[in-house]
Amino acid sequence: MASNLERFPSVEWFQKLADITVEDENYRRYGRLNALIAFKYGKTNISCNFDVLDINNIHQINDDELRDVDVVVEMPTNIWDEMLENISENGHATGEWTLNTLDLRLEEEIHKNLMEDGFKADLFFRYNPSLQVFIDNASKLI
Amino acid sequence: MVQQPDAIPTEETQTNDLSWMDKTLGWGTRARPELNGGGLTIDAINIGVYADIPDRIHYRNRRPRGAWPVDVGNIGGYYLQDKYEQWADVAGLLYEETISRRWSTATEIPWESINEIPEDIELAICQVATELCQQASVESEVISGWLQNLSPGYHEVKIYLSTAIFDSARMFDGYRKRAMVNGGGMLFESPGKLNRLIYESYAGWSETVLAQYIMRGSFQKNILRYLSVYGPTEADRILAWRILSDRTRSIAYAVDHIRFAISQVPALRETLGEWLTRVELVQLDETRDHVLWEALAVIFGRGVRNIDSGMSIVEKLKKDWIHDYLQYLKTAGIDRTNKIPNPMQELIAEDVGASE
Repeated sequence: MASNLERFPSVEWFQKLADITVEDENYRRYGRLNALIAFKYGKTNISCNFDVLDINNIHQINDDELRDVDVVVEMPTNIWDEMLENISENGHATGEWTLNTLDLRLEEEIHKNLMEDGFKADLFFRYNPSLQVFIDNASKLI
Repeated sequence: MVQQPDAIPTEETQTNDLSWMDKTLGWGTRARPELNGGGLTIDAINIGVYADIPDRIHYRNRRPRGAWPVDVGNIGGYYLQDKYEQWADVAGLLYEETISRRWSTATEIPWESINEIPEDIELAICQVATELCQQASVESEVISGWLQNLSPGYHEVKIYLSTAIFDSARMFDGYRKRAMVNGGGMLFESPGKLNRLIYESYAGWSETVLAQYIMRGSFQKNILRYLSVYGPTEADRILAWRILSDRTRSIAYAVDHIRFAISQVPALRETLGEWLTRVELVQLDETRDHVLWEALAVIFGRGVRNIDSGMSIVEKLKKDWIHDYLQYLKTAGIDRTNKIPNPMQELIAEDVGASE
């Protein structure tokens, strides 16, 4: 049973997710990636450094620091909750609940670079298969 | 015939010269693998004298950067000798990334998921597949054609582009397989106006990059992005999703290259801008062709009977495409927001929403 500290969206929760993911063969088969990505849930921002095949330097950042990351993944908290529920039920996100689908279907895209840097914002697509495995591994935490 | 034994070597033939053994600029260099599983990467070996990547390669021949020179003079090709004409800081990383993230359309697409789908939707996806195949084929040929003109002194760029050609080959094979897998086959050839412009863009590599990777790249990116969500079968969605990753890699090279070129030669902002005016007009002319848009609308609307709702999604796709095109250029240092032709301006001015 996860402690309060380990509950989404805490640093501890993301650290556990990273620990599982870097050992996941499905993640490793998608290959290397290099991106600083922040996950924004309400007022909580967690920054993760996807560093080749490692995921490190996971820590909380404030809103000003979001400008320094490559990609911010943000969606309404109820959508975060429903997405994680879908992942929990199915072991992975199904159809409408993948990051890629939510990004296109929601009124506002869920990925952005706050400096409007198209090169950096596109890392969301360049590494989407890897990021989906990362998020899908939440099924092993919830 | 019986071979005669070799003659016993004379003392003269046994004498080895070995003077080549001191022809090294960086003896003692020992590159180390990157941390975190990256291995010994092409960027990690740029150390010592080999880390010097000059602004101009003064020879026009096949000498590898950092090799001891032999005076062979210039030979054909390798006309782009300046770094700004081809360089992108990210090229080495993209090369490693492409290889690390390699995949196969043969085994990683759930082709078996393509069951019988309505004929109008099958026709539509085959039409889109035909046009994407053609575009990918053009891309492979154009980039291949440029390779001998790029200096081997900037090998990071050349080897990255060789993987980009592989990516375009995979896009070709993926969509050709899609067209063949469910009874549809190849359909109507595209008007090919932008194809011709890309083939003819031999004024400079940067011009080709803008037409192929920024204009067409942003166009394809959005078609793939929408197909990855609205594709009629799981195979269609996964195929588009995987190729979307590949597509954004070549766009990344393009943005980084143009940004570097303009940082070195600021006047390029104007000259490349003039070229873009031509690219935009040709692309605009091509987008007047209704075939691709109708095919996409049939796919997005789930059939001809819902083509109107599908077309509203197509309108959103167009808006996203122009938005991406402008954002890539802005990131690269070219602001075309108020310079694109009127029909493109109107696309981003309207508040078009998908009817989902």
